[in-house]
Formats: sequence, C-alpha cells, structure tokens
Amino acid sequence: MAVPEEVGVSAERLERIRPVMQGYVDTGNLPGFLTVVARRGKIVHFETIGMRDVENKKSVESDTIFRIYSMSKPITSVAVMMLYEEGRFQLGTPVSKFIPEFKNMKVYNEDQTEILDAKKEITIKHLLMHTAGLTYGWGNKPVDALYKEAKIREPGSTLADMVEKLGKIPLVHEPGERWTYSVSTDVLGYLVEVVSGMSFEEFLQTRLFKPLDMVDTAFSVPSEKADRFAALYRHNRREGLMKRVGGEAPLAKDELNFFPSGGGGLVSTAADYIRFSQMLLNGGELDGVRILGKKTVELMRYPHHDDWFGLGFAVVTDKEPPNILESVANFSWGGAAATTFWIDPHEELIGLLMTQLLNNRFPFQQQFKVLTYQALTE
Amino acid sequence: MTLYEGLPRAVPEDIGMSTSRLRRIAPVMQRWVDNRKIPCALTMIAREGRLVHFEKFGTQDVATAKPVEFDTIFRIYSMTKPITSIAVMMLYEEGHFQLGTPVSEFIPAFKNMQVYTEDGSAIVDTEREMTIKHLLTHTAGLIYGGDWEHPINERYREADFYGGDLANMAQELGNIPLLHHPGDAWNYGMSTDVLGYLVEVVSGMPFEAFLKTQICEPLGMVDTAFSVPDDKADRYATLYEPTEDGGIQVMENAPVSSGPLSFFHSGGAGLLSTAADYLRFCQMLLNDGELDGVRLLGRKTVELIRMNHISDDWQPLERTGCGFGLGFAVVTNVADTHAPGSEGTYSWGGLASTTFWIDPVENLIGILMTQLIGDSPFHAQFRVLTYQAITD
Repeated sequence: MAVPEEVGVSAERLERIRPVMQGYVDTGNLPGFLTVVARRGKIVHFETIGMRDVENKKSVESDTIFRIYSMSKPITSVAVMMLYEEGRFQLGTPVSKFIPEFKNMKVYNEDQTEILDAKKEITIKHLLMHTAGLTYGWGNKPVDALYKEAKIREPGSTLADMVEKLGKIPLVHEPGERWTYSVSTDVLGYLVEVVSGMSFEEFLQTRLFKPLDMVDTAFSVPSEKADRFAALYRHNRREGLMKRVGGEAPLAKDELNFFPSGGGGLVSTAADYIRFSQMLLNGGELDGVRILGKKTVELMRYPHHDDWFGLGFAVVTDKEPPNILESVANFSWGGAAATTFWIDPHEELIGLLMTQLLNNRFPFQQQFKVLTYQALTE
Repeated sequence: MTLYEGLPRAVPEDIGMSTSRLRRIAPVMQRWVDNRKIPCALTMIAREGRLVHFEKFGTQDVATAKPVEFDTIFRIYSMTKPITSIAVMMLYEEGHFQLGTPVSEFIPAFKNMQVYTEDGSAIVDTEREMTIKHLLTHTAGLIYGGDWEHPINERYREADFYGGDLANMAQELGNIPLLHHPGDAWNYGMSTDVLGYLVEVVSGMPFEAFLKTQICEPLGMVDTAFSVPDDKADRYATLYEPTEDGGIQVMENAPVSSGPLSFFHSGGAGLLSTAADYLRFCQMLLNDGELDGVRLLGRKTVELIRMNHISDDWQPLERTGCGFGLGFAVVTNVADTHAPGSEGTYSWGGLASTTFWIDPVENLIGILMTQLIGDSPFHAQFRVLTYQAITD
C-alpha cells in the first residue's frame, strides 16, 4: 500500500468508492465486493465490503477466493503468447497443425441452413481474437443445439475430449469473418498442452502462477482453502434480489475441482490477479520475473479486430468519442460473476473488482471505473 | 490579490506575453464604445494562473453615464451552461449515474418520449432513450423554439417553461415531441435547463443551493447567482439591443433575467456573474479541476469534458473547426476556425455578447463581458489581439 497522494491520487476522493459499493450490499442486491486500485506499481485502494457467504455470515476478506470465469481468458492468452515467444508457432499458423481435429472443418452458410466445407483454416490468432467461427452454444441457431448436445465442457472429461467434440461441429461462420465470443480460449488451453507437452494446469502453475507468486489461482480449491471460497449468487430478475447458486454453478462447482477451462475455469484472489495485471502493465515483468517481452505485451493490447479487440483483451481506441472516464489503450476483460479488471498503460493504473453475482444487471463496474478515475489528481 | 480580479497579477513578460502588444486591445475596444455599438466591455486575459490584462471600457448604464467597473454584474446567459455541466459532472464523479444513463431514470417526464418525423408532419415514438450525455452534448432533440416553419415551434411558444419550478419545466418539456431522435443531430436548446433539474433530483438539494454550496462558495465566486441582492443592485449592468439607426437602446424585456432581481433557475441561461468570478471558474478547469487547494473535479473528468463528443459532420452554432464536448465547444481544427488558437481550446458564449475561452495548450484564458443582445464581431478581434501578444 502507498499513500495515494504520492502517486497522484486523492485519498479523500478514493473514499467515494465505498459508499456506492456499500449501497448494493445494503439493499441485498450483491453479496459483497473487493475493489482494488493500483497506480505506478503501488496499491492505493484495497477494500472489502459485504459477505463472501451471506447465509453463513462470512465476510469478504482480502484473501477471499473468487470464480473469475472469463478473466481466465487473459491468463490463457498470456500462456499461449509465452509459447509464441519460444518460436513454437506464428499467429497465422493453422491450429490443425497441433490439433488435427480442426483439419477440414465444416461451416454453416450465412443463414445457417446449409453445411459447407470451410474455405479457410482456423489460425491461432483467430482463437485469440474470437473470430474462429467457434461459439458458446448459448443461442438458438442449429449450431447451438449441437454444442448443447455434445456437452463440450463436461465435468470429468479432458481437453482432448473437448476438441474431439468441437472438431465434429460445423463452425458458425468462416474463420476471420467476425467476432463471436466462444470456447476458443478453451481450445487454446489444449494448444498449450500439445505444444508444451505439459498438462494445461501444470503449465500455468509452473510457468506463470509460481513465478508470479499467484498462490491461490487454480482450477480447484484445495480443502484447506475451502473456507475462503466465496459462495456464488445469481441476480433474480423477478424478485429483484440475489439467489444463492447451489450445485449448478457453471464450471467451478461446489466439489472444488473443475474442468480445466482456459476460457472460464479459474478461481483466483484479488492479490493474485493484481500481480498478473501488474506484470502486463510493466510490459511483461514483475519483481524481476519476466513472463513476456515488452513487444509481445504491446502486440496483445493492439486492437487487432474491428478497433476494439486484441489478443485476449478488449482495447479502448479513439475511433469513437468516449462514454466514460478512461484512457485510450486501456485493455480489459470481465467474468460471468461480474468481476472485472482494466489496465491503463497511459495512467499506469490498474482497477480490479471482485464479486460473485451471475446475471448482473447493475452498473457498479462503470461506477467503480468513474470513482477510480475521478480520484486522479495528476 | 484584490477580490475583484479573481487571480493574482503578473508582469506579462514573466509569462511569455508582451505588454506593448497587449496595449493594442484598448483602442480597438474603446472604438466600439465610442461608436455606440456596445455600452461597455471588460476584457480579461490570464496565463499560467496569473492575470495579465484586465481593462474596462464604457458605461454599465448609458443614460446615467455610470462607468462599467471591474466588479460590474452581467447577465451571462448561456455561459451558465458550462457551470451547470460542471455541476452534473461533479455528481457523475460520485457514481450517481453514467453518461449513458437514461434521463427518465431520474426525471420520469422524459419516459416514452415522442418525436416529430423529419418533415414535422407526424409524431412517432423515439427509437432510443434520451441519456444524460445527450443533454450535455445538445443532441437530445430538445430545442429552444424558433420561427422556422415547423409545428414544434408553436409547441415551444405555447409552453410556459419559466412560469413554475424546475419540475414544472421538465414536465412541460416532456409533453412536447422531440425534434429528432436522441443522438441523431446537434441542436441548441433547453437541454442544460433539464440538467439543472437533474442536479436537483440527484443531489436532493435545490439547484441554486447546489451551485452556491458546491461550486460558487468553494471557488470564491461571490457574485454568481440567479439573483442580485439589493446591496449589489447598483453594480448590475443594464441590458441593451441594437437600434435600426446603428446605435443601441435599453432592452426592456430581457429574456430570463428581467423584472425583479431574482430569476428563474435556468441552468442554461439564468446566472449573473462578474468577470473575476468567471475567471476563477475557468482557472479551476484549466488547472484540471482544482483552484487554490479546492478540488471540484478530477483531472480525467476535465479531460473527458473537453474532448469532442459529437460527429465531425456537426458544427455547434456554425462554429467551424469545432466539435462539442460536455458543455463546451471544442476546437478540433484550428485552421478551420479561421482564427489563432490551439486544438483542444474549449469555450462558449452568452446571448448578451459575453464570451470566454480556455486554451490548455497555451495555458491561457480569455474573457469578454458586455451587455448587448446583438452581433458581436469584436469577439474575433479580442481573440486575435490576445494571441498576437504571446511571445514565447
């Protein structure tokens, strides 16, 4: 922790964050929050509000473990880029070179009525950008029914099982044609396995988490940490409040050992994720440990797709007038349980918000961003 | 520092300006007064937080030959809008709303608005909700009402916006269809008055009390208000309009601020102020939100306010080379403004020919006060005369 004023932030203005977040807890809409702001490598704000388990009256603590869901994607993308830096493949390398299941893919035509041969190969860059033509299976297209039927990420199955199923389902569009949020990053997890010769989790643990001292980030919660694991809630639109999610939690279920989904399977803490973010803000290095080269981080946060998406992150550009306090070149992502983070290279700033609410309909992420930026004084 | 100057003085040469070149301003302004084109003028230039030019010309009341003084109180009309916009952004900084939050969330009168079709022949439902950003950027579809051929103008004429309180005003506006769908065009209008009411609803304080306690008092803007108290009445300038023979005469029915010395709390046009008060407001913005240890806004918020937020195809009130930020015109292309200046300069003016600009590149503020509802070719002159005096 640093004195905020020493890094150009007003302590008095940072105090505006708590009451706004507290309001959501007091009204019973959110279980609890953990908010962190770091600037110039120093933590200037780290607050816990509310409960990690409402029913059992356990408060959010600084070491509470959260399901970060899609905030797994930046981590998996970094793992891929570490292997890229070793010269194992190019961004344009066809995925089928490592995962033969993706050879000779089929693709739906534009109106999703016919199945044709795909004209293009899926490349590693397509997977990093969500333009491969893979999807999540959440919609109402014929392809979505196939995803549901195949149980792509079935608990107990392996990443090899997953790509085998995916290889048999037609793409929703030609690779590179447009952005479709998808299981691409799960496939990248398998790619890491194939290329590195290690299990995906082993690669993350030995090459990323241990070196960065991310001690609580994993695809499982060991029994001695189970008490620190936050309960998951879902916004209930009808009653307006939240409901606890029991055994049907996506991916990170209550049995504390999850499908190794590179797109959504990790659990983590604020301290761990801040260290990951700080490594990126520093251009690939933290406390003497270099994970990526500077140019690689720059490549990741370049808006490769449609002026807004890089290699695993959303990126702010100046193509459109801003609608919120932030900076051009910010890169960020969020998770299904309403967690979010952003990294601001211009202001040397990181914002991180942890909570555990599915189907969020409240604007607290934007509020947190505004409340963070309004506190900058230099 | 004397109170009526707003900021401490500096020798122009100490901050990169030429004393002899600044002397070119007086004869030009004096000529406008001598030729009876304007009753009076105050011109003011500050650089790097210091006052380098503050001069007065003419009379605050022509009939009694009462000279204009440095503390004369003027109707600043639309120069109220930047102040109201800052009030809104102060509440934005507290997390009360986002720029994209629908106005109807706080002002139900704006729920389910209707809109005229392009030729005004029919009324349909709006395609999208009006947001707070639409109000700040004058893209909401609200207007002032004019005399061109369109049924909306009759509706604006018939409505009694200023006859009740701000809630009543919002209700009256909510009953009139918009000129265009929110976000589809730039049109000057009542938006900032609505923002004044928004400040009231969000803060739980009367709009006037918010401005007084949160902006004017902290910044030492001692004479800025919606009214002139009795003890200041003799400092209050008379308002003029041009005559057909090329002179000026007293304007009897001044918009918004006529009659008794207490006016409708119009966030778009209702404030009275002095040059020194307005300079302090501008200096707070030029300092990225802080003045003399009082912080009203964070730096990032001021940066957001002075970015261009509208389409390159739109020009706010025919200002070429300008876009529009959150309550201010913003220079996007200096050459297209046909005047010296800097990209990123933000500015606005008032109906009675007052004007100001803030230039973050040159660290400079210019303010001109007068009290004439008519053309103001002297604005461009003052701007040229200011910039030609910069030497560093």
